[in-house]
Amino acid sequence: MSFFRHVGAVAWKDLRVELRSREIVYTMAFFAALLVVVFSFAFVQDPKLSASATPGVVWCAVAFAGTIGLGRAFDREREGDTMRALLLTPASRLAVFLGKAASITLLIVSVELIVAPMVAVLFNVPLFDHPLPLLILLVLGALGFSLVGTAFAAMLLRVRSRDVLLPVVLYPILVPMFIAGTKGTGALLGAAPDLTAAWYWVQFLGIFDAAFLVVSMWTFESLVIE
Amino acid sequence: MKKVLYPLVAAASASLLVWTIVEIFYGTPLQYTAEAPTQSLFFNQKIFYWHVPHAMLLFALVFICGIASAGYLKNRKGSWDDVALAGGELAVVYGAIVLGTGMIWGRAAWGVWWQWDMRLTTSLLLWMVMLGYVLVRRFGGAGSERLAAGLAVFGMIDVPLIYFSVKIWNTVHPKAEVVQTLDPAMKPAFWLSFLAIAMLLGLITLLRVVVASGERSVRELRERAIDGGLLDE
Amino acid sequence: MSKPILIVSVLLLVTAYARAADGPSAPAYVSPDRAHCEEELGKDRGWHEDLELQLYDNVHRTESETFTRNNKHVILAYAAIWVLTAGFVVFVWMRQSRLKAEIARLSADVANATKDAST
Repeated sequence: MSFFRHVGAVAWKDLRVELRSREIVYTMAFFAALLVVVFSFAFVQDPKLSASATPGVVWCAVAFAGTIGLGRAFDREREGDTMRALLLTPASRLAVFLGKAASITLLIVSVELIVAPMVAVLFNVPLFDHPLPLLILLVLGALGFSLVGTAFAAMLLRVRSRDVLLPVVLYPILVPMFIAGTKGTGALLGAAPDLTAAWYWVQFLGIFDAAFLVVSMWTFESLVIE
Repeated sequence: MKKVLYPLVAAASASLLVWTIVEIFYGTPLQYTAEAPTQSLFFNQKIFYWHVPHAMLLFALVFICGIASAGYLKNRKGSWDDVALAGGELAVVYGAIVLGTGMIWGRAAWGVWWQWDMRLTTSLLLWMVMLGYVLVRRFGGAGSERLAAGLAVFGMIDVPLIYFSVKIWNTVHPKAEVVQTLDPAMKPAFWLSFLAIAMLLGLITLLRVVVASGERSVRELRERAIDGGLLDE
Repeated sequence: MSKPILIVSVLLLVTAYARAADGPSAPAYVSPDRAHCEEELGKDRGWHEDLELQLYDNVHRTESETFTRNNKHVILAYAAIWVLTAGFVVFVWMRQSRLKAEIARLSADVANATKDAST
């Protein structure tokens, strides 16, 4: 049980730091909102186009805002040189990893909760007609993004050109997640929402998250040395 | 024994390649479907004999890179890393070949350079993962071998997920389907070309692994010399 | 070394093109007037030859366009494969020569260092 206590402690540490300054969540949210506005200039004129582009807009905003949030979260660790301290604690590496992934998941979910209503309003789409599958899709997507993202960002901590390399290594791996997210969200929109398809994509995201949780658990010990 | 091996394999693969070309252009019938004559490929189906083995070997290379990276992460022996590096670089080259010939064949058969066909999309995503691997090795600086190895392992686990997600994503899209049932008269030529290309791939991979391990040895030697105070840098 | 390969590949392509020139036969269209037309065509050789002449250019042109296009693409695809493979071999070759230079430099450095140490 101490494992989960450690996970909670690491996550709560990150959230406490974040709540004091709110730097990451404000900048992430503003960046995501800006993206939605820019996309709306491209898409909102044509109503047919805007309805089908909506899922893509939501998940693009999640992807880009998530990347900068991830980068910022680990920059903070590097600036304070706290990563070494974290690894020296009696908590296992895995607990540190899961704690950080949990805090980043919460950050991304909070950004999603701002982006989704914005998109629903600006693009005039009934995004919240089926709130439960949408919420689960968003949460599982955030979880998958943060699991893979935390693993790579931790690996990239001391590497040169890490800011460019993080998206370069992250996005190709995450493509199935984006496909599942956009298709799932798209299935909830439209004249005849396809709920079976939406739940299928929810399951797919669940499998994706489980697979990468297991892989991260296997490889994290050997990947993060310092 | 090793000195004889490389020229022998090179000569064998060269003659197999020549035999393959003769077989492809002489020994196989033109692809033609009586039920859909406008969809017959005729001559440009000959691209198939080289395109598909390269695609199969691309998948094999991704798995080789992934497994070698997992082995490197587990026991930290440099030889695993060399194999992973060779596999990754060759996966980039073979991915470029598969995508390039796929696009040219698509242009000939479908009239468009690109289509979100399941196979092309999956190959594109795998190619980008391997491209990321090579970029990390090149620009990551010191300690990037571990990161790249982690990326290769994640990529390998991702392969079935990419496959299924793209397959289901694609079923809604109408597309011009290339007739897929292989005429049995074409099978021998196909497997012959697969053998020839696999031999060539094996040869190039061996060469690349040898060069990579040589570079690593030199790097380690230099570091040991600096550590021992023999050289200063 | 490349010239014989070029000649051989051109010969192979020409042979393949010749073999490919026999196109498929079109499915028969069942027309009510067909039997009557064929009877008339058989009787009137002049009309038969006129029709042949009229269709000849069209058929020849479409077939040659198709095959020229196909040829171009097959050649392009094979060329792409060879260029990329050869390019990678050249890349490995260059790394090999750089490795040799590095080894030479390292051994020179070590030789210098041991000479300095022993003197």
